[in-house]
Amino acid sequence: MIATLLAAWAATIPAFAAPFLLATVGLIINERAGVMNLGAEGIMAIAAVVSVLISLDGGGVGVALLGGVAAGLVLTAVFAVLAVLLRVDQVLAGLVTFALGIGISGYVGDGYDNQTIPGLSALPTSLFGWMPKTLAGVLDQDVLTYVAFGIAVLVWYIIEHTDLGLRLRAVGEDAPAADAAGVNVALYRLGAVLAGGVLCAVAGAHLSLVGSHLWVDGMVAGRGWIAVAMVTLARWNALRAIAAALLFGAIQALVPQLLSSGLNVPVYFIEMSPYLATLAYLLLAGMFANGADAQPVDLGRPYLREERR
Amino acid sequence: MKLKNVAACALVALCAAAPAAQAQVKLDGKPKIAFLFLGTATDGGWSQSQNAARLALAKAYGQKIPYVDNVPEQTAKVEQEIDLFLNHGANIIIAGSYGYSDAFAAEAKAHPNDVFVNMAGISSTPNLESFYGKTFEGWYLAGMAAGYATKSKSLGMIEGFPIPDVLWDVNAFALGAQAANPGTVVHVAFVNSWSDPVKEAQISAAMIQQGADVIATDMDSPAALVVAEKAGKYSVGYQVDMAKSAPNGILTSVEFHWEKRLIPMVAEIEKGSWKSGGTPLYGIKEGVVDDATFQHIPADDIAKILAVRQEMIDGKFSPWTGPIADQSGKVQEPAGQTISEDDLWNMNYLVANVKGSMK
Repeated sequence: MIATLLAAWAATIPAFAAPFLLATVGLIINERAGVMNLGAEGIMAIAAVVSVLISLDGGGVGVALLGGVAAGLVLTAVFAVLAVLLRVDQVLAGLVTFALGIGISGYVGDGYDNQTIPGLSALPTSLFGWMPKTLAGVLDQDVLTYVAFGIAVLVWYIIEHTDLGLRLRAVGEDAPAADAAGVNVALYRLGAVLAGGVLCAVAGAHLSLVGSHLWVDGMVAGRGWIAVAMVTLARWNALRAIAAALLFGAIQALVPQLLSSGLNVPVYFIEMSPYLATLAYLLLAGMFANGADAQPVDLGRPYLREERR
Repeated sequence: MKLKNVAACALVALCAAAPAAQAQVKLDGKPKIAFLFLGTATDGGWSQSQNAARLALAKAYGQKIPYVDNVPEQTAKVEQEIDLFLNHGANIIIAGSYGYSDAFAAEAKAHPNDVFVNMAGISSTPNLESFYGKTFEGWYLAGMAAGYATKSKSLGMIEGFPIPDVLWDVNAFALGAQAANPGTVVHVAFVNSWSDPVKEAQISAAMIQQGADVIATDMDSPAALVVAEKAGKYSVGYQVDMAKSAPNGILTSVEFHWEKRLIPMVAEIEKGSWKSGGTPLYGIKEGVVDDATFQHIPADDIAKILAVRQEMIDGKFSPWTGPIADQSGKVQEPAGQTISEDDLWNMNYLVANVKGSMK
C-alpha cells in the first residue's frame, strides 16, 4: 500500500514540477539581466488559451505550442518595450502585463471554456517496459516535461559557463560597468526578457496541453506568481530551480495522492506546506547568509547611459 | 458552480424554514423575460446550462430573451442590472446564483407585480421563488451505473467544497454504488475550488493509479474525465452532457434542465395561477435534474437503473431512506425513516462507504 502510494507519487512529480520549472527558469534569465517581470501569470494565461484555441481549430500539438509561445512572446514584447526601452518602473510594467494577459486570455477564450482537446500525452508505456516499474513510472512523462528539465540545465550552463552568460550577468550586476566594457545593456536585457517570456509561455502551454487538456478562464490559478517567488527560493540559479520545482512539485503531487488514497489527512495543512518550506528555507538562507546576496545588484533598476552613476 | 454554493450551508436552513409565500402575482401585460448569468453564457457548465434554459424559453414563447452575463455576486451590481431590465419592460427576471439572494429579495419586495426566479438562491417572497435541483437523485442513479461498471469496486469522485449540496451528491453516488454492487467504495477528493482543471486532472490520474476504475466529477470542467478516458476507465459527468469529452468511457452525466420547471412556471405566471413555492427542490420527476443516456454497461443493468428512476418519479423511492451510517459508523438515519429536505440542507457527514476527508 505504502510502496504503491510512493511509486504513484513519484511518477506524478515531474509533470507537476515542469510548468513551475519552465516559468522559474524564464524569470531567472530575466532577473540575472536585471529585469524583474511580474507578468509571468499573464504570459502563461495567454499561451495556455492560444494553445487550446489552435488545438480546437484542428492544429496539432506542435503548432498549438508554437502558437501559444508566439502569443506569449507578443505580450512579453509589450513588457519589454515598457520596461527596457521606455524604462517604465518594472513592477508597474509587470503588473500591467499581468493584467493584460489575464484580461485578453479571458476575452479570446470566451466561448471556448471547458472544451477538451487531445493535448499531449505521456510517452508510450512500452518504451519503459524493460525498467523497474517505479523508475518507468517516473520516466514515463510527456515530451514537454523532458524539455523543461533539459532547458533548465541548458540555461544554467549558458548563464554560468559561457561568455554570453557572463555578459548577461554583468548587465544584471552592474549595468554601467557592463556598458563601459562594451556590452549593449538594452540589447542584452531585451533578449533576456524575450527569452524568459518564451519559457513562461511554454509553461502556460504545458498547463493546458499537458495538465488540463482544456481552457478555463483563470486556470493558471496563481502558478505564475509562485514562479516569481521560486526565483528567490532558487537563489537565481537555474540548477537550484530544478530542486525548488521538484520540492513544490513533490508536495503538490502529494495532495491528490493523499486525497485519493482515502486516508484521513489534513489537506489544508499539506497544501500550505510548500509555502512553509519556502519560508523555512528563506529563514535558514538568511541566518547563514548562504547565498543571501545572490540577488543581482541591478535588479529592477532601469539603465540609462546619461544617468550613469 | 461558483460561489453560489459556498455559504449555502450556513443560511439555507434558515431560509428554507421561511414561510413559503402564498399570494398570486398579477403581471402587467404579457410575460417579458430577462436573464442574469453568474459566468459567461458559454462557460461549458453552470451558466451554460441556464443559457440553454433561456434559449428553450425563447423558443417556447417566441420572444427574444435578453441576458447579461458575468454579473458578480454583489448586491448593488445585481440590483442595477435588474433595474435596467425592468426599466426596459421586462417583468420576469431569472438568474441562478446563491450570491444574488439578497438582491433578488430586495428587488422582489420593491416590484411586487414582477416575478423573480433565482435558481440555487435561498431567498423567497410572494413574487420570488428560489429553486434548486435534487441533484442527489441523478447522482444516486449514476452511482448505480458506476457500481455496475466497476471491476475494482473502487470509484473516484472529484468535488469542490464540502458543503451540504455537494455532500449529498457524494453520498448519493456512494449509496447508489453500494446498492448496485455491495462493497464498492467511493474515494472523494475536495479540490477546494470550483474550477482548477489542472488539479482536477491530476487528482483523477492519482485516483486511477490507486485503483479507481470509474471517475466522477462534480465540477464544471470535464478535465478529470479526459484523464479517465485516456486511461481507458469509465467516467460520470456533471451539469451538461460531457459525453463529447469521454465518448468511450462515459457512463452518464448528471444534467440540469432548468427549462423543465421554467417553461411551465412562465405558463402559470401568464395564466395568473402561479404562486411562489419558496425555496423548493425539483428532481427527476419535474425533469429539472436528469441523467444523460446510460451507456457502456449491460442493458439489463440499465433497466434496473431506469426502474429505480421510475420509482423516484412515482415517489416510491428516496436515496435517503435509512439505515444510513456515516464514516464513523454512527447511524445518521435509522431504518425505515427518510431524511427530510430541511435536514438535507444540514448534511455534514460522508456515508460509510466513502473514503476521504472533509478537513
